[in-house]
Amino acid sequence: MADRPNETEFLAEVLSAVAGLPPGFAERLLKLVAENPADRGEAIRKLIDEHARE
Amino acid sequence: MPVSERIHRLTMRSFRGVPGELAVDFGGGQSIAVYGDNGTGKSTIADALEWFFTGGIELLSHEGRQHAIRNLGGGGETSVEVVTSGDLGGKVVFPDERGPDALAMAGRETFLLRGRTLADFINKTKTEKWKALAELLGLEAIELLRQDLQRARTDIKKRAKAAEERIAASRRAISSGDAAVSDEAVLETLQQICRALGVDVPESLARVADPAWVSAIAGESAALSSPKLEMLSASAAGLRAPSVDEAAIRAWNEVVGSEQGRDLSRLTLFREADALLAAAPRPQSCPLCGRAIEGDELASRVRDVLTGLLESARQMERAGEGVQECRDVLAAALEARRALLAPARALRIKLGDPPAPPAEVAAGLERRAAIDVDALEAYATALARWDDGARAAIRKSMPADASTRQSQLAMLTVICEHIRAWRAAESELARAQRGLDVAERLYDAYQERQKRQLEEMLGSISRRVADIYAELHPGEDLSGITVEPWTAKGLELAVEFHGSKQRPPHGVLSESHLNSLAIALFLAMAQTFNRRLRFLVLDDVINSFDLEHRGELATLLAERFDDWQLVVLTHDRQFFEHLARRAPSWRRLELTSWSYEQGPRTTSYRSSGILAEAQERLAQGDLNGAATKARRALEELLQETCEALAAALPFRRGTRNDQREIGELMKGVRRAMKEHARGMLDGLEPLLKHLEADVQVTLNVEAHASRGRSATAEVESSLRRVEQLDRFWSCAACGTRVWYKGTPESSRCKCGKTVFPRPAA
Repeated sequence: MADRPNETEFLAEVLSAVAGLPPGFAERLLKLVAENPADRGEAIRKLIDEHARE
Repeated sequence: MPVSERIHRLTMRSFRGVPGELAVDFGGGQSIAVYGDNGTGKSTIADALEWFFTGGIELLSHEGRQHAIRNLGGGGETSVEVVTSGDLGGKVVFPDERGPDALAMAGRETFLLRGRTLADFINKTKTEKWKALAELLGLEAIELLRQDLQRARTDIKKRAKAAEERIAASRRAISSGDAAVSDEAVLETLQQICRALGVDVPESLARVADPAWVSAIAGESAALSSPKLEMLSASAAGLRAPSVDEAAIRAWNEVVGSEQGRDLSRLTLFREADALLAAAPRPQSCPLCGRAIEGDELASRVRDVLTGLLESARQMERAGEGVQECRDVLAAALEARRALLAPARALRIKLGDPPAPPAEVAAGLERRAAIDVDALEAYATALARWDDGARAAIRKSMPADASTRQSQLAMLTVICEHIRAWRAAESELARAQRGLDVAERLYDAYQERQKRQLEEMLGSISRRVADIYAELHPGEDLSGITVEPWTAKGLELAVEFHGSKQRPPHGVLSESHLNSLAIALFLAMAQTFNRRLRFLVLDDVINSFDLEHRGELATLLAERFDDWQLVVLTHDRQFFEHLARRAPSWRRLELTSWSYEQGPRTTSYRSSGILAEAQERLAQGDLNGAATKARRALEELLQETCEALAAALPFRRGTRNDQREIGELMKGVRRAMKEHARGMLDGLEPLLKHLEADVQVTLNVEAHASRGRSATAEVESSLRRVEQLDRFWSCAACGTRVWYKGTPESSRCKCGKTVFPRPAA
């Protein structure tokens, strides 16, 4: 029986296949997607930006 | 969570056609076949399950029809109560006040197929199919997240580009010329100026960007009359004409000026035409000009044009990205000049408003029109004129008596400010690029996975649909049934027909074949994606099926879906009988009539079919009724046997194939048995001969009508002979037909104890 995809589970699968992500980024992104904020695109950008600080 | 939810009991009160209460008992979640003529209320059962599990009834979804859920004759509370094997059961009272969350799970699963909506999915447009499937499979949520990731990536890209622009502007301001300037050259020049002025000589550009160092220099230049003026002057000196990618504009103009580009206005029309031709019977003339044309050729031409238009739309989208970039460059140029206005005003220098970019860039994008390259050049000239005017105005305000040292100190401060801005922009660029690297890798991986996921899902459904369809139509030259993606947001069904792919399949499939495809799709979707619901409701789905395919469907449901709970509602007696024979363990219910006061009248269908009804009639003394039923039972039995043994019968047009005379069917049975089971036929022949005589005399209503008691005994004997023939084809151990598994040449019952042909004694 195939599973109907859920976007958070789906993203978790994708994240596990992407190498070299900043530490803690995957967990925070999954949390953010699960929370589903009003402007999710902007929230994702901010998160990436935050993790891109040296 | 296991797929396990089955229905144990359904109770309707004052609901639809039920004025009082009607309960249907499903035992421990058994399958059930419900028979009833049109208007006896059997669809009320499907309506109740639809309302309970989805919160609505599609037939009543139009405005003003919702009240029809209630039965006003009953007067009591309108409710539907469902007892299930899991936790999805309960009671719903009208008006239904459950929120979307309560309905979300079951509402997304596949469980109800109705005859009237059978071909709905098949006939939907590609976009509608995508939407329907996306909603069912949860693809929409995945797609929305892809769009959000794409937006985040685009924003970061824009930020990187803006940082690059700022770096370029700072470098231009420092070098005061077009030549590229290196870090080393800038540092060397600064060191020379610092030595000449006798101030702290920086050892690196990082030092220059250090606010403490800049403050010290600024302190030395504080005596200057207007360091801000110097800053403004340097900024004005750094202004350059925007670099517009003329090649991108020309590429855009080429696309919008091409015949295909102009034709794009017809895209919607052709999409609609394609959908119309796919859904409706093929016309014999063009619906626009009326010229006579063969329907398939028209559909093929429309498809070709649509494919070309979709490709043109993609080309235009790509060219539009270049124009979009030009628009951003022009907006940035305007912004850089507007940034000078406030500091100039503070220094009482009057600068006019910089000219706005030509509106036709935005308008061209919006209206898919060509953009005048000359107008862009004219705009660049106008900006250059404005730049010259601004520089002249700033120069005029510079104090004439500033000493060389003062000027040099002020210039040094300005350069330091630009270097700080440059360094800050570089740092921002590096950060944006790091972010962009993450965003792009994440987006690419997501998109790739999404594509693969869709392909896997469609592949999985396609395989199941093809398998189920093949069982419904064995031996037909049709293969490779697939559900395929069609551009980004479309799906289409396709079949292989004599080596060519037919997409959609309407050109090669009849209405009944399309209906089979719809049933196959429905069953495949449930098998593939249902998580909780383990029951399926099929409401009058065999209307367009001939007798043979009704039998195939009954076999498919009874055997392939024997681990599902099926609720099959039908007004077709033969289909009901087929099910009764092929699935003896199913429950059966008959709706005998419906009245306004009482609603549906039901009778538990205890007998195994018409034969048992004949016996009941005989027991009640209804001789004519018993004879008629017995004759009908014999007809059906022979028809079923002919089908199973693939007996050669003359072909007749339309439904007359289903209404053959007993004599013709007898011939068919004998012919088939002569070929495959000669020995068995010899043993069966006396019984067949007796039955032929029965049909002529005992089961002929006219013949026995006035013979009283002796006629009753004759009908009784005839009935026993029909029963004997019925038993001949059934296994005494498991009750299933001997052709349960196998071919017309050889087969066996479900338990394997009874075989055909029987071995010689």
